[in-house]
Amino acid sequence: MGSDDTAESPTAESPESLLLRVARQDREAYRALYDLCAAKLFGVALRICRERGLAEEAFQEAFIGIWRSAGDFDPARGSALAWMAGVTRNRALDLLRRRGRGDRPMEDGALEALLNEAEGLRGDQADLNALLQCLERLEETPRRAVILAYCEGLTREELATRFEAPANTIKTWLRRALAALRSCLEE
Amino acid sequence: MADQDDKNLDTDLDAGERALGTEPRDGESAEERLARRDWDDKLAPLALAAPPAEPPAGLFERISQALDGEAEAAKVIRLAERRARRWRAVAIASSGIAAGLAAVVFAMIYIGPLGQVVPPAVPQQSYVALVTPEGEGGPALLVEVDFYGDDRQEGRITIQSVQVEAPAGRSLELWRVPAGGSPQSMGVIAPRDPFTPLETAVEAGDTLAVSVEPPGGSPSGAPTGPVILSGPLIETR
Repeated sequence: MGSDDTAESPTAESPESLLLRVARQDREAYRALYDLCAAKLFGVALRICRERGLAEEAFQEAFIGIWRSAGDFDPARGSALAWMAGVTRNRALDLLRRRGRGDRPMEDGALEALLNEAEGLRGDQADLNALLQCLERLEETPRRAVILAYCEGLTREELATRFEAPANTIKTWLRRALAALRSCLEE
Repeated sequence: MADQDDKNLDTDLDAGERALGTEPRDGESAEERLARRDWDDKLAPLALAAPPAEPPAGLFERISQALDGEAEAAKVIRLAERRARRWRAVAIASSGIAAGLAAVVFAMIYIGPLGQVVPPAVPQQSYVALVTPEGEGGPALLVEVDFYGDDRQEGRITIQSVQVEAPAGRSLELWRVPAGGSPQSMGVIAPRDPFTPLETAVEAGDTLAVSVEPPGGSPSGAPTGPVILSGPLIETR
């Protein structure tokens, strides 16, 4: 990445290029990365925390985490935005666990909304499209379970309550779904 | 060979469940972490399906300050560690006190304003607590409690804050939790304000804890919000 002389306007850079500069402790790139990605990542935190105060805390921790672990980002494995979204999601879930999650009912129709939003995404979302296509191939109930666990942070017990099925059955669904996803994504 | 394949698949699905969050990821081995991160990468695009939302104004500045504060705290800790090594050598040479002393000496020196290791007035009794979040590092409070006079009639709390901030519109309240007892408030603390008057007796073995409360402190006299920091109180004098 030798030629930084072209980096006159940091906001014109891709998240990947900025994140690689952040890995070298470049605070200017960090600011530009924030301007570029904060709304997206805050949305990720808000989706999981569902409460603004908590989401702010999770997002703040996550963005600090991004500064610290930017060196772990490997552009060969996925987009910078996806990597940062993963960091944000993990921080949000950790925070919920630390605070003890309250009762967090999900409104009916939210899952459909989620899928619709996902389908409406453009840009560098080729990864997402591939994942969505593979999710589409799953049976409906396991698919919902996977999405609720991943996007909403539901535990196996919460899923069991929601689907009125034993926790062991949920586990079987999830594992079957993961196995199907893995082979679909490798196609 | 089929057995081996089954086993590999099982291991991979375990990793997938940890990535989904339906299995805990504490205590992952390095190999397990790699396998889980592979799933993290696969599933991450889905996290991005959330609709964007504008974070509050000024958040980047807060993040930036936190990183500056962290660099500052690291400097203080390095300095304190250097001093602690020196003090530990003196303490061990002079009295051969047990190994636990090292931690206490470290804490005492860490509290003291830099460049001023020995406090000007000598308290009759002193306690110290390092009050931290559960798990890894992060923000911390160093709370020192000193009593002056023969009957401990005069007390003082000194708080040194490393990056502790009250969430917007909330107060932080310091609690003393006696072993086996219920929490007693030691008052609302302002992390940037080093002195707060002491209104509670404390004993070695107490736990000090900090909870997030409505502005002005808990309305009920017991903690109502999450406890974000805690640590044991150690007698140093």
